[in-house]
Amino acid sequence: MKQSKAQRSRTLALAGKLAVASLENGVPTLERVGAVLKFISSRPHREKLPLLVAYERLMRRREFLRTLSIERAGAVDSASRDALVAALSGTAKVPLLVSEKENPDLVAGLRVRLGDDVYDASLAGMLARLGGAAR
Amino acid sequence: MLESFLNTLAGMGVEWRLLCMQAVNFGIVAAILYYFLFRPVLKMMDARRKKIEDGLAYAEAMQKKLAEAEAREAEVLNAARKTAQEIVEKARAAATAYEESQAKETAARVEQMLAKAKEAIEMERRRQFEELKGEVSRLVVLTTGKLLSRELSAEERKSLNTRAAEELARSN
Repeated sequence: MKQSKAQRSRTLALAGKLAVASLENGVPTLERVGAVLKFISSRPHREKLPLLVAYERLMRRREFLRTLSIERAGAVDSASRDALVAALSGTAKVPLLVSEKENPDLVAGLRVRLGDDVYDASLAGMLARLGGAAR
Repeated sequence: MLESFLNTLAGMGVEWRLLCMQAVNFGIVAAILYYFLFRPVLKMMDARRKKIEDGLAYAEAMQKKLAEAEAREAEVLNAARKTAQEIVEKARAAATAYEESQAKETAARVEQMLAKAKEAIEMERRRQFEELKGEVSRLVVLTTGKLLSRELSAEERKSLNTRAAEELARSN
């Protein structure tokens, strides 16, 4: 059954509160998420699915925003890498989910993505910017 | 005296009575001829003369009128010639002015077209230059990238990666 506009906004507000309640120090925990899911399953049948969908979307978005993806060409000094993760974690104000990937197209250097932000410190990126400026 | 005259006539063989009779006869014939022949003939001749005089006067008047008409015609023709001359001169002046204006307009158009063509050529040249510049830049970047990826050693890469990580950490 399709929800009205007011119902939708109520559902979104509740899903937002549930998403915040699922976190402990910015990280979702199994217990809290379990409790939230239990709460959702206790809601009336017509609210259950839209609330679950909105909650899942918000949680996915939160996960995306705290995911740090590091692309590199070659090895990185682990101390520098940890310093970078710590600095970005301080910026995001939450513990980050770090994933690393080798990308030879970068030539050298790093390309880092945190949520919607991309920091490009690779030689390929520099050359591309240089080429763009020359044009 | 009369008797002597008559005697003289008789001496010359002229019988006065006969002479008188002949004179009377001549008078009668002359009167008859005058009334029935000379007078109508004279009348007819007068009429003919008058007609001829009238004809001559008419011809003279006609000639005069003709001369006047010819003079008037010449005057009209002169006026018409003058007017025609003026019209022709005006038309010639208008044609000259039109020709000049057309020539000016054509020159302006040609100049405009030339300017446009120059502008288009310049734009095309710039576009080609920009394209070439872009292509050269792309090739330089590509070649540099390939060269660097081939030439850089693992150590150099690691050093660059470490420096990049440090820079990123500093900037955040």
